[in-house]
Amino acid sequence: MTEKDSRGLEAGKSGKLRDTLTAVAVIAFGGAVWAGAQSFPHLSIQGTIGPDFWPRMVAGGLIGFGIILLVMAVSGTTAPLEVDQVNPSQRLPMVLAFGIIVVYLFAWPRVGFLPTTIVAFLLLSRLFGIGKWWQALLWCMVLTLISWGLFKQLLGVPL
Amino acid sequence: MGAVVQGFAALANVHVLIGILIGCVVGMLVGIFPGITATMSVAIASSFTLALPPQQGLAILLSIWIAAMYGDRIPAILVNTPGTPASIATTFDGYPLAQQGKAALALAISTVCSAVGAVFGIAVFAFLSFPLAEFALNFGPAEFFALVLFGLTMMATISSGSLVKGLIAGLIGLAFATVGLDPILGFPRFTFGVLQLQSGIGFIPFIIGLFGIAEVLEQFLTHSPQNQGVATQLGRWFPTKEERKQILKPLLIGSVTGALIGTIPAAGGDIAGLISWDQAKRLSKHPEEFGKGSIEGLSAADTANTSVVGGALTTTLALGIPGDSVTAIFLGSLLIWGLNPGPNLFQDNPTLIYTIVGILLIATAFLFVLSLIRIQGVAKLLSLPRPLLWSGIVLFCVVGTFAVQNSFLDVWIMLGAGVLGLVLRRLGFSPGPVVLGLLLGPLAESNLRRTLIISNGSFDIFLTSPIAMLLFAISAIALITSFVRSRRQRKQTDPKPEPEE
Repeated sequence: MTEKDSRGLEAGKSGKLRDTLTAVAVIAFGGAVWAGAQSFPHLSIQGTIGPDFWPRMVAGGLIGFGIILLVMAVSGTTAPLEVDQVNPSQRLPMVLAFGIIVVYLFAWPRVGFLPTTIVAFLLLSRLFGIGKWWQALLWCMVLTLISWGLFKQLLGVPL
Repeated sequence: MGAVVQGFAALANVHVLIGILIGCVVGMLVGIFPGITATMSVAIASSFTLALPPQQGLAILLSIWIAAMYGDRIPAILVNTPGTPASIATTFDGYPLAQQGKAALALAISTVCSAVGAVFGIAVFAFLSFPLAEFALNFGPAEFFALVLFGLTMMATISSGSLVKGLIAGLIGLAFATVGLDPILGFPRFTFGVLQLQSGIGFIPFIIGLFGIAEVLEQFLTHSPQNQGVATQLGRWFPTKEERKQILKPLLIGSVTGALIGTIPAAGGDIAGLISWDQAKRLSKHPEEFGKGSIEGLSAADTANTSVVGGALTTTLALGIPGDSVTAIFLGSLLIWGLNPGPNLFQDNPTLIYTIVGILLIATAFLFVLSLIRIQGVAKLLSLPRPLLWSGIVLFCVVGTFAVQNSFLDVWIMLGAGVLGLVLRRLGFSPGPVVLGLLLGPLAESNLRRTLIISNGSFDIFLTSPIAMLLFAISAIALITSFVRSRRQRKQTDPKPEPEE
């Protein structure tokens, strides 16, 4: 087997695994919706149309198409993904960016909009790649003031 | 006649005109910067506009949308990067023209064609939407359910690379739509005891997350330095007599194609532009020039991607089925304003329809003038660093979402939707069907259940409705042709194994 063949085979294997796990997740999600619908009353007015009917139909669709996707994934007939390549050096910064936003949302109602926004977006701007600290600080100050002015002053939103 | 006069009279309001102006400027900027989509910006703007009266809010949202279709040609022509997906076909001939030192000519032709396409689409909306709405008055619950299913199927078959994943994405949206009170009996479902969830998952926060946060996270994750140079030699603006003649046929092709495709749920400017370009090439005396700087190719693509606006609005307002993701947001905004799109809107509020026509015409005229202003400075805007845009977008997503209901739960929903959107994109699922499922889920459920209550639980009632059967048949045909097409494409692109030595 040539090296080219082995690289292609590897790419195919990881795509198969990804689609298989995706299919399992879809089936699990469908199963969760079905299980949740079990607790809804099976009321009927004239037929058997209660609040559990539609969620069960949707869950059935998810499970059914999830199984189809699983079969396609295992047999290797799923369409190849056409997405931009992930830059490996951006994985950790992306997770950190998400973490900063989460902490920001916890801190905002407790500390206040202005200080938390300035700090969070200073860190975020640096993480996103704005070169120097003073540039990031200037940018986040501008952004914070614009959003404060627009939402709080103009639209009356209680930030 | 009274409705026409009243509808246009609403435009005499200075706040509406200011809204159009703001929307046009914002939309142009949105179109110019690749990575900021019209859907994202309309989603964020919808949170701002909820506090405004419908006419002013629609002035802003519609102007952003149509202006983004104008602005997106600029990076497509100067940098070979579509500003929004709708200008993909513009790059085929726009950038080669720019490389030949004819960037200004390309931009001028594109401006004229976009304006003509927009006016044609608006005319289609003005004249076709009322008869279509009147026809839709014949629709009962069975027909509306079939129409929703048709919309979801079209979205799944058109917008996704994989048919199965498109259908799953639609079902995910339908599943999220079950959160809240059941539309017939008012029973709380999947609310987990949270009072706010009884009104369902907030549509605006969800789409801001799905299109705003997810887009930024994905761009950040896949970010690498841009390699394309900006074309700086603009050249002459005015086309010669021969060049003006070349524009006429593709102008007609693009106008009709765009308006027609816009009426199909899920088919937006990107598909309209591509199909129109392809059709113009087939009908051209010089097909060999397409892709190398053909004025015909550029004209066809740009006419179609603005003409699509009128077609999409026709379906959205007359039938209550969104033509694409942007019109899905309009539909959501209209519902929040207490206006129900569909046949009843045309009976209860006909003046609004003419106000919308007027907004689009004024925006088109303003954008035509704005686009012809020399844009040498715009080329410098294109080199603005992405990190500046990303942090700004995230902040506006967060604060804009909070502004909807002053609720942090909405912001958490937005963030969750952002993560979901990123995961879905990386796994090859399109977010469009998810949005449509979320929006149309309650409509689908209530109409299906009403139908089955009428028929005492029997599905045979659908067989007695020709309209419903026709829509089911079209949906089935679309599914089958999509499946066959994807199998053929897979067979053509699968590499042949190398012979062993």
